[in-house]
Amino acid sequence: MPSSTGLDLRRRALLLFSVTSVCLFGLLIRLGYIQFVLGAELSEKALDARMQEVPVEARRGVIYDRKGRELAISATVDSVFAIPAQIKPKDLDRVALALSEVLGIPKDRLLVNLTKPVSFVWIKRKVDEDTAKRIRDLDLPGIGLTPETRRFYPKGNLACHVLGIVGIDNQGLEGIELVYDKALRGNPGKIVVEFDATGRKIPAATHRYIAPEDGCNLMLTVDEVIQFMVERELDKLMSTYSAKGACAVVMDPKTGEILALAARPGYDPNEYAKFPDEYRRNPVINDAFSPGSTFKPITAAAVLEEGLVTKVSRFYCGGSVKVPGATISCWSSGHGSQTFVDAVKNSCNVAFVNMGLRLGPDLFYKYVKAFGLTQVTGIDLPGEAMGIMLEPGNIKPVDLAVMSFGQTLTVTPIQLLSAISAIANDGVLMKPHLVKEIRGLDGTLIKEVKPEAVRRVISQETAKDLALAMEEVVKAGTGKQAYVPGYRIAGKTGTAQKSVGGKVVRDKHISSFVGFGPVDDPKVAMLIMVDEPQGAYYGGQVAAPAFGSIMKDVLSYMEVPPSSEEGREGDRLRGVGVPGAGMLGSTGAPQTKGPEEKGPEDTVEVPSVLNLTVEEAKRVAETAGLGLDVGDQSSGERIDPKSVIMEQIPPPGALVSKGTVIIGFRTLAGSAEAVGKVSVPDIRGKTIRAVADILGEIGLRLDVKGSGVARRQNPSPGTLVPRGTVIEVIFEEPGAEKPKTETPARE
Amino acid sequence: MRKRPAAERRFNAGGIADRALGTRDLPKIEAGPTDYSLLVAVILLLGLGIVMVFSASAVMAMTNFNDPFYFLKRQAVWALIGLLGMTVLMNFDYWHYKKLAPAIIVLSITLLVAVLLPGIGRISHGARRWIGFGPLTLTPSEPAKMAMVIYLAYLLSSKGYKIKTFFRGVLPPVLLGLGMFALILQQPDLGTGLTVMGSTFIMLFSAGAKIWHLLGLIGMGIPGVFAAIFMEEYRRERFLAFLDPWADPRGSGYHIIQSLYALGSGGPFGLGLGKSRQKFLYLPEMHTDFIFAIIGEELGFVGAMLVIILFFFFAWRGYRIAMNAPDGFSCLLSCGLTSMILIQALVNIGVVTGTLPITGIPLPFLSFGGSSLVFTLASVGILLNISRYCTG
Repeated sequence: MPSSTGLDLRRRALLLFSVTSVCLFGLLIRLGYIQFVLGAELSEKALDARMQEVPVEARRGVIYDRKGRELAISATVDSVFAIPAQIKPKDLDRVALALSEVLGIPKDRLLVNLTKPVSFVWIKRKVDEDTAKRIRDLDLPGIGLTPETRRFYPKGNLACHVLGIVGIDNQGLEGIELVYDKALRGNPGKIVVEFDATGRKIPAATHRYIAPEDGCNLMLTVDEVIQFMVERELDKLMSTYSAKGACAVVMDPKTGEILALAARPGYDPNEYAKFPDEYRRNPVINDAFSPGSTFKPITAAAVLEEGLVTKVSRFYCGGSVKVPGATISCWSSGHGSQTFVDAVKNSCNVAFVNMGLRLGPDLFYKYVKAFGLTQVTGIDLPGEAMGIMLEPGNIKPVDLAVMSFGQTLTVTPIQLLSAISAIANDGVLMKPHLVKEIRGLDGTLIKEVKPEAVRRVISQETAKDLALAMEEVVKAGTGKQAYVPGYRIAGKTGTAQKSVGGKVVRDKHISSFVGFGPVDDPKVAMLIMVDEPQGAYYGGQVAAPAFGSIMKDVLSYMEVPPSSEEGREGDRLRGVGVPGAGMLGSTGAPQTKGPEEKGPEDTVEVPSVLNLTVEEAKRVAETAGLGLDVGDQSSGERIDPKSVIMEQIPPPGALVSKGTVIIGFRTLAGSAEAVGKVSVPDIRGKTIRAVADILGEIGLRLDVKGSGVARRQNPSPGTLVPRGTVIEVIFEEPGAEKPKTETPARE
Repeated sequence: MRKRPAAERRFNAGGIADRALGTRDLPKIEAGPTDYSLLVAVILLLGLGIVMVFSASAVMAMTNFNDPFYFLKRQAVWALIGLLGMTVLMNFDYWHYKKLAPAIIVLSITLLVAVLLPGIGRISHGARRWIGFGPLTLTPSEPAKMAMVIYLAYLLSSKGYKIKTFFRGVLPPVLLGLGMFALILQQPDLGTGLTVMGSTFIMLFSAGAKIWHLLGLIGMGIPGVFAAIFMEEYRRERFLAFLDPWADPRGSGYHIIQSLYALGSGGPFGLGLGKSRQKFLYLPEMHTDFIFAIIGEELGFVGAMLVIILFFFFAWRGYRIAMNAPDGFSCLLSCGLTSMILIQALVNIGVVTGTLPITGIPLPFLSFGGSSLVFTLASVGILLNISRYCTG
């Protein structure tokens, strides 16, 4: 066997060595490939696998009113989570039982969550401070607390329909919260901690804190005080007339900025689940109503602009008018011969039917469209509806006739107010909007909403003439009760019969009033609608007084100077044949003298009633020769004479004529022992939300610094300070063992 | 090394069989120096192994035994026993194994049978692999590998062995190997069984068996191996996981993925000794079968490459001993022992790098495990003894 020589054996050993070497070399290449080429990716994946994430919510941006007052803030609260991998089977029962006791969740349901094959599961979100402390003290394996932010609306139901609501994940669901969700929300961050395979933290483990990017702050065009005035008045309307609903919008006609937008019934966005869902519906935006006579200025604007009538054109009203197919009655038994201005003043249906028929369908629709009534206004609220109008193609004269005074068509309140505001704004239609600015946390301006003109609808001249005609409505017509002493107010009443399923219902009405003022330089346009008022139902009876009341407060609050030319303008109008001279001041209070008539002895300096009880404030105001109105915070509430004035309009030191009524805003919850000063409570160790609650209750204001629990406060506990004082509280994350979640300083 | 006369060369024209079976028939051969470079390489691997066993197991030891040094202490003791055994065998001349070979194989087979008997074999992790002697435990499959190599070296180098024939030459060792394979598979321990079969084939190859005989047998064996894989649930899963570990990253692919994570995390220079993250109970068997992954993670490519270089050096010295062995028996014996150790190293590193399916083979010198370490060092002892009689 020559092949089986020792030489052969050696050769085979050498071959084995070669094969082994090649294999080793191959493995070395493979190793290099894993460690060099795949290294970064594998290492990252490995870290991810060892990391467990705890989400850190971004702080949702604050919503301020136009003066920087907080309407929606985010408070830090704790949420309970579990990392199932960290709970050993032997501990499972104990953990579930303990949690069940503290959180009041059935044990079975907890066990399902605690054994889920996921790395992270919520047990209970946004628990109160006490519960959080108990959970923290229990120190259960695999159970942790992470700070989350809870949306908090410090003013309760104020502006609820504007602000909207957020869900459990702080996602905007309605209102501004929804429309500006992206800006407000920010980007969530997370805490990632490296765990061993059984879920314990690895010594010197990698802790990664990915800071959330907090949301932007919004500044609304809404003014909290005006909003408050409007809501107060709506509450009064609701209780006085047992109405089904009411809404109001206040707008700056020159810019389209919404100063207030309110609806009743309202709800508290802090606890929206406790209210029926339909209370969250915003009729101003979401519902279309038959405008009734408040639509008449549109018809009037069209005929004036087209030159089909002039201010002095005459119309005859014999109580009804025949059109092909129908006879249309006026609301009155007959206005007789009247000028155009009188027709507006009288809200004469017959005259408006005539105007409509003179326009014809094409021109009528042209103006309806130009006033923006056939499309959404584009306001920054969700779900804007649009009115319904007959197709322009085949409308009969009777349709046109009825539409001319605002029946058989519907518009949303915001559409109507925008259209009327165009008249106030010299004929230019502005786009209504609610947000003025979006600012980053550091205060940098991210977006500024500039007034946006949609189009010129009518000439300046037509607008002025129409405004004067509408002024007559307030001075001497159907809207007399909207009169504001000292100011020239233009307006139009509206009383529409409601139709249900296409049929007009006799005893269900919508009373409305739309108007603006002062006529010579309009600062405020406003629409009030009352749905199904009981007892009285004419717009002039129901909506006009509320309009006047709000207008008076708003103009005073905005420090709009009284209209100096009120008398003269009125005379000029009356000079062209308007009856009703001597109307001036007929419904006014004694203080409605023109400034030129004021003597120095009539002017007084407004004293400060801040931090005084209602009783004391009344005394102070009366001593100065002024009145005091503390209003109703909400309808039916008894005013506690010991509650304290937080804010006053006009501010102390302002010069006003004698008899002016100071409006005082009281504390939300007046306490019996309330005096001018309060003792600063010790709020250390509490969460932002708890602190806000505590301070809010006794009328102190909170300046939040940092996040977590309160560590230091200024002034210190026990210091006597006036109500309304800002308490600076520095919050820090509790416990050193907790991952640091401090974010860059917040504005 | 001293030169030997040409007449003393062991490879004669009569074949690889030794001229005589008994030691008394052997010519007087003076012992030369030991291959200390091989010894150094082994000591380096052993030292690195002890350090890495400690580093890899500390967390697990703390978790399970509340003593981070639990595995270190044991491995150190086994290393000492192993070194002692190596020293003894280094000075125990190789030709004595010729006489002892039949006894060794019988004893080994007896142990393999015994371990399967309830009451003798200890069950751990679902396998009956251990025989206990007081505090010490023995894994009979470890000495079985060595016994097989010794016996085949004896058998194949015996006078007139017809290695070139199939039925009388190649088949008997294969049947013996299969028998042992079957016994080891009962534990079950596929990895060690495959090592035995691998060693058997390498010895047949070394002894001069016809390549096509071997290839034919391997060709016949492949379906058997696949049958063994697919008949057992966990083996099938492991095999499928090897093909695509990411198909079930938390299940069957877990080991491979965690191992790759460890190697990948190490990068070129590693996270530093003791700084492994994967040893935090992510990587199973981190101190035994997957210690190479921890080496790669903590010491990086540089450390892992050092291990591969040391095994390469070991291969060079081992096969060099085989090539220069004084006679057929010692040649086959050294070739077999070297191959046996290298098969394990290659397969282990192959598994850790995801190149081969998981088989459960320890990394010689480095993995924790008393029996493996002691018998691997014993094998080295035999190799070192043969190295003293090498020519050239």
